[in-house]
Amino acid sequence: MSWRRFFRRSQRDAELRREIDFHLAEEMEENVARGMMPEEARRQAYLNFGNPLRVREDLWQQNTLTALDNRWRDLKYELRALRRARGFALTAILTVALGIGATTLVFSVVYGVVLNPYPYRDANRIVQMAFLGKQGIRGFMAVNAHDFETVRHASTVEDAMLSDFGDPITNVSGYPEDLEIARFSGNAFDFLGVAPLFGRTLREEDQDQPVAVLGYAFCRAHYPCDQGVLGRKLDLNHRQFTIVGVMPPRFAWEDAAAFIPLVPGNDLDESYPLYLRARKGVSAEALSAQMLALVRQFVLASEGVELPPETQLKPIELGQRSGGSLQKRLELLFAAVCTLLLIACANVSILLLGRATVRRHEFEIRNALGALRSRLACQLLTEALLIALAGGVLGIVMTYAGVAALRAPLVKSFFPPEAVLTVNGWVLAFSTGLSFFTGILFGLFPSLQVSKGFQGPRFSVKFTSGSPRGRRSHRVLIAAQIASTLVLLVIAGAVIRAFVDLYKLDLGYDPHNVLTFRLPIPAGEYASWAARIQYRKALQGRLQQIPGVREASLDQAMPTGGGFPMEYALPSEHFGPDMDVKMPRADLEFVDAHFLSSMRIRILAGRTFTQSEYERGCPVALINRTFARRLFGALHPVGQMLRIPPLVAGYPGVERPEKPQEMVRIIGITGDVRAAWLPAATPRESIYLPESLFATGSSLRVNLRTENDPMAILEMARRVVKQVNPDQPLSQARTLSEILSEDLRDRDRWLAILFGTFSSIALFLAAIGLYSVASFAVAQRTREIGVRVALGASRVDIFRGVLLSESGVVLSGLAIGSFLSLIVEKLLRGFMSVPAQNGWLLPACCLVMVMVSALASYLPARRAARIEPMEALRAE
Amino acid sequence: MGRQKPPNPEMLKGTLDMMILRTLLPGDAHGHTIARVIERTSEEVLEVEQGSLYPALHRLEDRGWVSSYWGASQNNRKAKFYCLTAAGKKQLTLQTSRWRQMARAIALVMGEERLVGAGGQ
Repeated sequence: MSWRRFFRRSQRDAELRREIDFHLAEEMEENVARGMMPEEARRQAYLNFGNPLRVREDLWQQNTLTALDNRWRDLKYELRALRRARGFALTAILTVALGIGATTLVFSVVYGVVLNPYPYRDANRIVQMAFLGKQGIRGFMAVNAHDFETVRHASTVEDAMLSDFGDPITNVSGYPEDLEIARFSGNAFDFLGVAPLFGRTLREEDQDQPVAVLGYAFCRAHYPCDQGVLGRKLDLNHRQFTIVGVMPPRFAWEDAAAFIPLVPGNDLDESYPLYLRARKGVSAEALSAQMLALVRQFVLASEGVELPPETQLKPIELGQRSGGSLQKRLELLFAAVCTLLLIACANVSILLLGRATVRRHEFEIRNALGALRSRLACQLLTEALLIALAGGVLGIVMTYAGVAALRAPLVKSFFPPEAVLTVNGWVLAFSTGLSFFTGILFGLFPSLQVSKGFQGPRFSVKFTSGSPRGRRSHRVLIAAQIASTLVLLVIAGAVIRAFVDLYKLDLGYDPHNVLTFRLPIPAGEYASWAARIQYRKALQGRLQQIPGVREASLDQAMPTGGGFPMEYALPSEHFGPDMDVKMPRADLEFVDAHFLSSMRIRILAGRTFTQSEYERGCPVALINRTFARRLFGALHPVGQMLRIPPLVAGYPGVERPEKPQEMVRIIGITGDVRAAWLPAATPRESIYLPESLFATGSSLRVNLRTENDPMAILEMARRVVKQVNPDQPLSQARTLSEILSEDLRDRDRWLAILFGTFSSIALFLAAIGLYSVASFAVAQRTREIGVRVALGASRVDIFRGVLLSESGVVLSGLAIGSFLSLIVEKLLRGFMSVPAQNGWLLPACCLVMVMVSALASYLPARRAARIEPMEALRAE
Repeated sequence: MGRQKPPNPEMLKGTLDMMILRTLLPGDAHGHTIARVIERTSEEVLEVEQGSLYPALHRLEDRGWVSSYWGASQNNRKAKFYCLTAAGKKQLTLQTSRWRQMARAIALVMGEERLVGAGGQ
């Protein structure tokens, strides 16, 4: 079969027609010659030849790709049919568009966050090795220069890099501030496999050269972002770094502003955080086992100690350090939106079934005229695909709009800094595939119905009573729809409820009217303990005097995040040399005498420490309620002693009072404070200690409790800080409530909004489905109802009959849905805090469903009750 | 399905094609003549279903075994004449020998010795 023939069909047909005409003329002439009358001669000629049209059709078929031609004809036919049924087409297409649009939107988020969040080469195999303890991750594997080479050549490891962070002070904005800088080992850029936007990346040969590669965001903020930036200087801690390259926007490694070389020194005591890429096909267990063996070997070699046998290592993928709950939530969202899509499909299926029943007459006639059932079924499928594709196109448009609207808020709260939210080729391919899939899915039901054939008397046109054909499939679809809508409603209810609870949650402190900022201390200043305490005292005094400031605290604590997880013990407990692994840990919060009162953290028993205790460095402590309960139970903790080894261990950069002691006396109990990133989780165990016991030289945190708008104080605060020390940088100035709403609640708010929207759409679709089934049934039964009214049925009876006709289906849908949502709720509890007292949620959702179904049946029922017998009978 | 199944169309088609080619061997002819010649030479036993003649002719033309041109008939009507191409002649020889083999094989099975002798020549 050649294409040329296919396209020359018309010409060939014309030729054949002339040929046949000639043949018939010859035949007639012969017949006449045999003595027939002209009329008879003509008849005989035609009899002999057969139907000329059939012959032409045969040839046409010979020259045709039949299947293709049929589909094309179906397409044209259904386009015309749809144009005639505008209301139907519009409803169906919009329904599909909503389903596909929502699904594609969520897919684009899933793609951006889960499937392809990082621009780094083989990012899914880049891990950090975490030491696990009873309370989760205790720390990450770090190695010195020598061990680094050993790790790089381990059999389970493809390659590794070292990277740590610093916050050197710079003047690039015109005032001193600190920058987040990542230090990279020479092979790191190679390891990550991302090309620079301009210039070059760091290389092994750079060694300790003062060269820097800028992150895109930082470059945009401070430099012209083109070739001109290369060769300019960046001042970091008074050292001039030459800018040699700029990274593309997606290269946002840990949000660092710039990258400078890390040269692992010869000091083997100094170790650096390790990132490694597992070899392809290596299991997490194999990697952990080998790394643990290496760590044992390293520790034994350098410190002469055996690691305790229960030490555990586990690879943690990029972005998974705070747990995988976001990914789970997105999976839940995706599941929800797929359910929505199924509901939309069921809806279109219902509409198509109704339409097929209306067109039954047409189909029967065509079937009688020789159209094959399979052809008719194909035609319905074509109609379904047509609707699906139109809906798909509209859905993609909706996705574009949705992505544009949601990009700003979603990216901030859902995405790691490297990820992007776009409608890319994958997303488009997904939604195209989805359109075809949905088209076949919702076209299958009605077309199977047609291909099975219509039972019952043929051409029994329109006199349908009781239940019209296709009712059973309708019922199944409606029940499924109601069940899945109920499940969606319950999930959305739980998510929204969890979010509201989050907002109402007592955080344990008052986040309103607090200005917070960081004071990075320039390297080398305030070397002695006394100087540090003096500086803090002077600064705190001045800040406190700013008009509008109620109380100022100046220490290392913020209520939003836990302190430093460090070791503690009861005086009676003793641990061997491997105390690091065996000792329990609590969050140590180093605070000044004003922190607890200015944050409004409650003191439940005892007292807080005084300014003079702080200045003298008295070994006193407060513990929070959770900690007190677990550690001391019924005993009264105030007056008890705690052993805190880190207070005497001596950390680099930390100054201690003259006679450091590891025993501290508990003088009070505080209320619990909720961690910002996991507010619903059980509070962590905290110990509040005077910051003077652990005076760090790197940075301080200022929290100002203000009378009014906290940001109004900022300029004054800057000035005050500058008066005390002109070289003192100030950074990260924000209000506490702003930090909270961004870090903690935004994500849950967006989840709640998305779930709410999707379940409302589902409810709406279910209502439309029910409405169309009910009103379709009424239209089919017009004549029957007319007869019944004529025979004396009361309007109320008719009204009630129609109103309740779907109630059985609705109830069974609700029963199935309730059962399913109980299961789903159990699954939900696995990874999010579903409020315990949630018993009312399911009945409430059922009630909503019942009300909506009643509303959907009400209008058709009213229409049925108004049917006039005479009009109904004339309606034929 | 109440309709009777038509005899194996593949076999019919092949035979018809062969006979058409044979008819064209002496000289060009149009469709009507071809039908007549087949009927007469078969002593009116084979009645060509004229409806299938024309699709067959077009099929043969598509395969390059016959070619066609428009000319005038004896009655001076415009008619489409078909003529055998070189490929068509080859095909005819091929089909004829295959048909003979087949006919002989069938005759052997049926025990018709006379025909076997005739076919085996």
